[in-house]
Amino acid sequence: MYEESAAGKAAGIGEEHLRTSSGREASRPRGGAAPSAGGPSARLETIVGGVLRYGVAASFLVIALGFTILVRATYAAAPHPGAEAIYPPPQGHAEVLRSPAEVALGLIRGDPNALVVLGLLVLLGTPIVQVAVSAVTFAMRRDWAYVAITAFVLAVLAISFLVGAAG
Amino acid sequence: MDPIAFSLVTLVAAVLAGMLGSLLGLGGGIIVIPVLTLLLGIDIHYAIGASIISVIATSSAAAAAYVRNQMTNLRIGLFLVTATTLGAVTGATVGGLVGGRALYIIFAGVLGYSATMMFRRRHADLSESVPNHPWSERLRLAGEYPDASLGRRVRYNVAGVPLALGLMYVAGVVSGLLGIGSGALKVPAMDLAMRLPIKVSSATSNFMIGVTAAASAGVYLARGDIVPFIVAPVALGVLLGATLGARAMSRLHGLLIRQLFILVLLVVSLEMALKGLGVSLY
Repeated sequence: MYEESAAGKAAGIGEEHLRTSSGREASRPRGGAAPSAGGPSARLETIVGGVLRYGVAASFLVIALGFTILVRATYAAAPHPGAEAIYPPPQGHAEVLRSPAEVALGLIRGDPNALVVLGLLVLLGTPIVQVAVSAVTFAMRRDWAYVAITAFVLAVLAISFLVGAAG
Repeated sequence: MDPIAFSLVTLVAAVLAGMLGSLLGLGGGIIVIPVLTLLLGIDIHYAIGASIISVIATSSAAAAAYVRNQMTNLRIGLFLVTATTLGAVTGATVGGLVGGRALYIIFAGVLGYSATMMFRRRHADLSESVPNHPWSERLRLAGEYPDASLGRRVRYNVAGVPLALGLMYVAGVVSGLLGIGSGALKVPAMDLAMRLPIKVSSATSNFMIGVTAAASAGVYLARGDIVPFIVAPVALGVLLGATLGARAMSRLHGLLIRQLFILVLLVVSLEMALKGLGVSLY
């Protein structure tokens, strides 16, 4: 039941031709009630997918690098480390970083824990950046309903970090 | 325990959690927490911290593949996360006020109910043609997706939008409280309330889980529950597993996914009930 427009035929006012990711052309009534692909266009999906992929890849590399250095440092400090190397006080003596500020200071010190947490922060950022990119794309397409929706989500996310810092 | 042995066990478990999580639309936290606490004897607070990160990892890694495969309904996902993020902030803030044991029992009940409902619908492979809810018309939520196992594009409508919003708020609260993705609540909500095809529910849930978890992760970081040595192998393993699992998604038949999901729901439900009743496995 997938509808295809005749090749090259403009469908009229208010419609647009999209190239789906499989390369087939489709026409979709803008803002109408007919089912679409579930996202505004294949292009938004490509952008969002790109943000996710690069963010995930970058965070993976940073975490892997940081963890490798951390393991080396742990075994350099004591030849047969036990569980106390893993846990923070009171069970052990491992370090815990609690904010981006502490991560920045840790990086300057050359603390591998900071590198690991930096990677985690990048990972944490991927869904947020994704929503932000969606917001911008909806704005470009003048889809105001979804600009409002994504702006609301970003506001809640911002508030959550403030609550976290205060709590 | 030897740190390297710990890392290897955690890494392998995390890969499995990531694969299972991305296939079922869960965050993987449901597997990570028991493995870390039961198998490796880690304090549950650190396990929850690692879990919230694994939830984001599963979601982002799998969502990257799903969005390309056009399974994820971005509009539904974005619309529903307004409710889940509010719930997550509420849940993480309320935090220690609600008795944990009561929550486990409630959660166990909800999971058991969801498993039962999904079991009843197990033969409905495609959602029967459902009328679009008026909100779905207004917000253009309906869509279609390519099903590789059926060899064609499947069109679907969206029902029960207000109910789904309410359920998503609850899922968000649970996510903030327990540090899990609550995919086990989100997927049934989309499957049963909105009557979406199971693959769309799973893929969209993956997307939503990450955004929701990000809303509570900041709280856990500030509390000091994110321990680098524990979280690093979890994050790495889950990223790998979720990427691999997402590739397999469109080839699996919808029925198999649903059966796997019901099984996971039942196991976790039992686990949660035991914990809530004070039979401490952790």
